[in-house]
Amino acid sequence: MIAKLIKNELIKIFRQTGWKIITLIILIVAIVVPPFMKSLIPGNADVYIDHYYYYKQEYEKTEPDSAEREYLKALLEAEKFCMDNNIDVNGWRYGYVHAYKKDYVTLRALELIRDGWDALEIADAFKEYSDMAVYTDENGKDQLYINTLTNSDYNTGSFEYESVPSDKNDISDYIAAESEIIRKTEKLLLSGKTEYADIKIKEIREMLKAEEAILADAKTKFIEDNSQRIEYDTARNRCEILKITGQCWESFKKCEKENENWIHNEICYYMDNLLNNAYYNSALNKSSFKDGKYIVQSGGNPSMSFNSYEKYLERYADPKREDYILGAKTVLYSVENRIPIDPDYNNSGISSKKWLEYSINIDVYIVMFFCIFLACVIMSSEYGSGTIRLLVIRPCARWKLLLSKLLVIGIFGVGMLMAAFLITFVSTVISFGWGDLGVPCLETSGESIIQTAPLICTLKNALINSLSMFCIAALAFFLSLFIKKGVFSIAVSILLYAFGGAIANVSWYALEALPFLRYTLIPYFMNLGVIRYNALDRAISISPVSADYGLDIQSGIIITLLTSVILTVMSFVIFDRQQIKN
Amino acid sequence: MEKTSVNEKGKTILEIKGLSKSIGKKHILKDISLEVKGGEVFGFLGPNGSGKTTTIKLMLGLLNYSCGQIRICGHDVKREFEKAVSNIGGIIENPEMYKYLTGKQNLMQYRRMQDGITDERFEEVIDMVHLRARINDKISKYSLGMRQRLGIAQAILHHPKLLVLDEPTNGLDPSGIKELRDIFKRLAHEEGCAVFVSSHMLAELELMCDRVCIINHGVVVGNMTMDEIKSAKEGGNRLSYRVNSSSPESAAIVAGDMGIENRISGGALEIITEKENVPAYIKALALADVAVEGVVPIQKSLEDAFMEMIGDTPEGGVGQ
Repeated sequence: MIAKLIKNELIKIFRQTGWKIITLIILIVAIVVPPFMKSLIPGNADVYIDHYYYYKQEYEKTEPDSAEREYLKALLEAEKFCMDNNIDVNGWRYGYVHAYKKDYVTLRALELIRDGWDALEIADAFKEYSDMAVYTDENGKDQLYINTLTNSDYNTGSFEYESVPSDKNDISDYIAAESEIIRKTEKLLLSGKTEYADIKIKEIREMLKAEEAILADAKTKFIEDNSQRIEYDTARNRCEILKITGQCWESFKKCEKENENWIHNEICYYMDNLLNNAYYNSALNKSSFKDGKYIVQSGGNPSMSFNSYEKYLERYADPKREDYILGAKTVLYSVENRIPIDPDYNNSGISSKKWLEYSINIDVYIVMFFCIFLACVIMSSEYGSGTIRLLVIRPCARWKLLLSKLLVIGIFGVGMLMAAFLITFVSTVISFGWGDLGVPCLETSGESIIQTAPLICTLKNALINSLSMFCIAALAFFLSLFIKKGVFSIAVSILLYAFGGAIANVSWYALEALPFLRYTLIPYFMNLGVIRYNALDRAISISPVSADYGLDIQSGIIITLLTSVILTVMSFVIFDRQQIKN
Repeated sequence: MEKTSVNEKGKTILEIKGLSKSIGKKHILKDISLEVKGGEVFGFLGPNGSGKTTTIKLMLGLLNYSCGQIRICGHDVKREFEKAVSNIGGIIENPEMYKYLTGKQNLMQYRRMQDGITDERFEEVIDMVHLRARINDKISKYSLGMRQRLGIAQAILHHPKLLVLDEPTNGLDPSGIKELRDIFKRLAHEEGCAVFVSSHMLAELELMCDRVCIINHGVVVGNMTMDEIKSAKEGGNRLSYRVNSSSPESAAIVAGDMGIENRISGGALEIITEKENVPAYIKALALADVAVEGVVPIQKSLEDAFMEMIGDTPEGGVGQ
């Protein structure tokens, strides 16, 4: 009987012109999204090539003896250095090319100020591509600021700004520092991969030496005073990450193929962030011990205090430390096995895997939107049109009628998703080529790093993203039965669809004050895609992540499914006892 | 489902006992009891707001009742809903169908919800309600009468033992009404189906029904056969007769001498007496040299009976 009822419902849906149009819209979106995405990708070649000739044209337009001309002259000199030495801006050096040009322009600006040019005029002319800026200090006086990048900052990625006096005599120290940076950078740029890797390994060994000394000191202090545990753990973090970074650079030395350029980016980007977080932004590092309490300051959130380290661990389970190490090991695994973590590893904007994931997520949002709409109207339309009267006076239990409608919503949703995924997949391959679609994804599970087939990874993420929307569909269905008005359930559903995620995000700030919220749907709603962090994602994030609030993806999925089930059961109960008055 | 057997005739198909429904302190129905047997057309009538549609909705499981029992073919509607409802076909007020589907597609929707409806029966029903020419048109293009006929078609697809109809002739022209009347009578008298009809059209019910039940203010105020209504007993076995004669006054004197109750009404004499006395009265008139053209029983119309019962009924009703 249920099969026949499902057939009835499907016929009713697809005999309506509106639903035929909706189906067509979904399929068209699935087809056009990938090529549309491709049209949005800037012509990356334009970004990197012909810089010299472009700047030369701009240079010709400037006034002689003007600050603007000096600026373009400095930029041209830096570009010429890269051109003359065949430094491939698309390759593994590209990050350093950018930094080199900035430093070179900054150095030239400082020299001009030393030679008598007006500091503020120079800062204004050079502001587009230098580390200079003008700010008004507390006395209302304009002051020149400069980025005092040091060598080690390339690894930590930290940026410090210092105020440079306008008096040209004091600028010499800064000029010397910038000159040294440029010298080292030029040496890096001119080196081959092996040489380059050796330089990095040497730097890391030096850093490791310093960190091991800090660790020894922290250990001694911890033995004497248990409250020094946080400093000891942080020092251990940094040492382990530095060791793994060194191993990554060893592997980089073995890179020979041109298409392995991405490994440099993975090491720099992920290791920079890991170490940066271990140094500056981790919850551990922002912890302190004061007045007998462990105080934790995480991001911009109110601080939390604990009476003991054990209590602190109960709350955090020291997650960051384990995640840092597992995150670093993930990067090492990526480098050693030549499996990129970031699909857009060459920054060209063309990664079939990345665009497939984006396009499929759009499919999910579109399909689920219409699924929710169907859930709103599939019952309310029976009440509105009066057909409910003839429907329920059949030798068919009401729960079967309702189940058939629910199953049809599911069939529509899953069917449309599968069709959309398939079409999007074909469209992606046509638009972007097969590319890196065969490259597995790296995920962490417990302490293990596992390779997952990319399509399975993409589909799994898409399905997780869709779970919240299935929940909205269940709520919409329940409301349409309870209120019998499709308009009301549509309105509520749209509001939740549009703003549910934002509400959930805000609720994270209330979790400390209202811990029971962790066991409700609220913090997970429309946020499951954000919560599904793996260790590396968590480790490199400088903002508090879901786990810092005690949220995890397994709980999120269970709570979302449970809420959907409860709403569905309530729908059955209501309909079974409902009187059909009109 | 097998065709309703003529052997269902005379069997109790619908049985309502002590049915009551209240909403808060307001009594909608109070102690309704009635029976409908196979093979009869049962009329259910009452003024607006008397509880007719509510009773029908309770029978079909659309509403819940406070107390009482409704059994269809022996199955309690509350406890054995599917078995009870499998014997019913019904339409309530205007039968709403899916406007974006054709007549045939709508019927197919209901056909799938019930087992045992053969292709032959499906086609037979379309012909019975005279929708063959328009069955493949969308409902949105149907007239009110056509929708009504399609509603009846979905009700009789599965050979129901009880056909429940609320205002079935709504929107039909006179020929359509006659067609339906013939269908209902055939279903009842030839196929043994119990037909339960609720309508305001007393004239139609009078032509169609074998038995009527009148409800007012949620209470049954009358439940009798059409013969009983028409024969309009005055009390005991006494009936009213009209005496068509040349001299009503003389006829009245003869009646008075015989001790027969009489009155002059509309220029004619009306007597009230047992049926056995009529021949003796006619003989007495002849002996008294009063020319008699005829002595005919006075038949009450359904409307008369209806107005009588509704008018006599105090708030709260007198029951059956």
